[in-house]
Amino acid sequence: MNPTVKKRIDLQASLQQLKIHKGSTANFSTREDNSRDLLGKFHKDRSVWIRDRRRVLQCLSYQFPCALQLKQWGILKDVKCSLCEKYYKERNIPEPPDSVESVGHIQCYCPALQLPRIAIHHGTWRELMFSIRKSSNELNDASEPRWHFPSALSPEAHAE
Amino acid sequence: MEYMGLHEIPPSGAGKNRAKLRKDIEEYHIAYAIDFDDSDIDTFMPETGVRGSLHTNQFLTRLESLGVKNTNTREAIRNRTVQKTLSMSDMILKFFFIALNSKTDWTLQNLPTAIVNKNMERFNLHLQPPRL
Repeated sequence: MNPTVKKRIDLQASLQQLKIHKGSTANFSTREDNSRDLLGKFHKDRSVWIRDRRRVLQCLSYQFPCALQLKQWGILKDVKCSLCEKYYKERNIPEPPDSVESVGHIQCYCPALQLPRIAIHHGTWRELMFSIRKSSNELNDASEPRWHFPSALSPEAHAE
Repeated sequence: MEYMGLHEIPPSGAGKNRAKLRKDIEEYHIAYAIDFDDSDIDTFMPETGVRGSLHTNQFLTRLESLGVKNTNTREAIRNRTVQKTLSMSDMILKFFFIALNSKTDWTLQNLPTAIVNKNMERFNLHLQPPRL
């Protein structure tokens, strides 16, 4: 069979299948404005490491083994973030009661991972700047197509 | 665009969109239950030069206002940013497990340097001192 025809049939079949499912992954996949096109491009991109693609799939399908998920599977009883617990204990700070260990918490809120998060943000930001510098034809005041990157500021200035 | 310093000079077109940005920032603050302060606009302005949801055309429009006129290039930059962001999400989840099995101070101090160095080497980028 022609690969293009096969691909179209596969796409139609997967769209039909999606209507049957009612789980949280299907809910996410059918949600409006969920950037499915961008996710599709990401998964099709052969330059991306397979483990990165697998990790994204794992998160989208609610399979990442964090405490919240392990509790749902009946493996753990507590959903508290173990890293937060460790972090606050080391600093003798009272722990906030709502630190649930979920993928969202780990990626966006966990205080122990604040600096890695900032570093990752800066890395992505710099790559974006690098791409713009390479492709932009806008000129500066001296009529030169020259860009300057921001230098790193103190960690205090970038605390979340 | 002489100097794209964070908290320094807003990017091209940022002034025109000030009202829109103000609204965006207010919505962001409401969504995350953060007290809104007017000075936030100035802090956010340089970053929002190209920031915005990657799935909307706003991102592409802002790239155009920054001088990236070729449509394919804009699309390529967007895809690359998505790729990078999603790849990094794998990294932070892995660091979570590393941090669980090590001292949190090590995570706070050493890992960010490791990530930054990796990014810098890969794209041959080096930190520049601010222009005075």
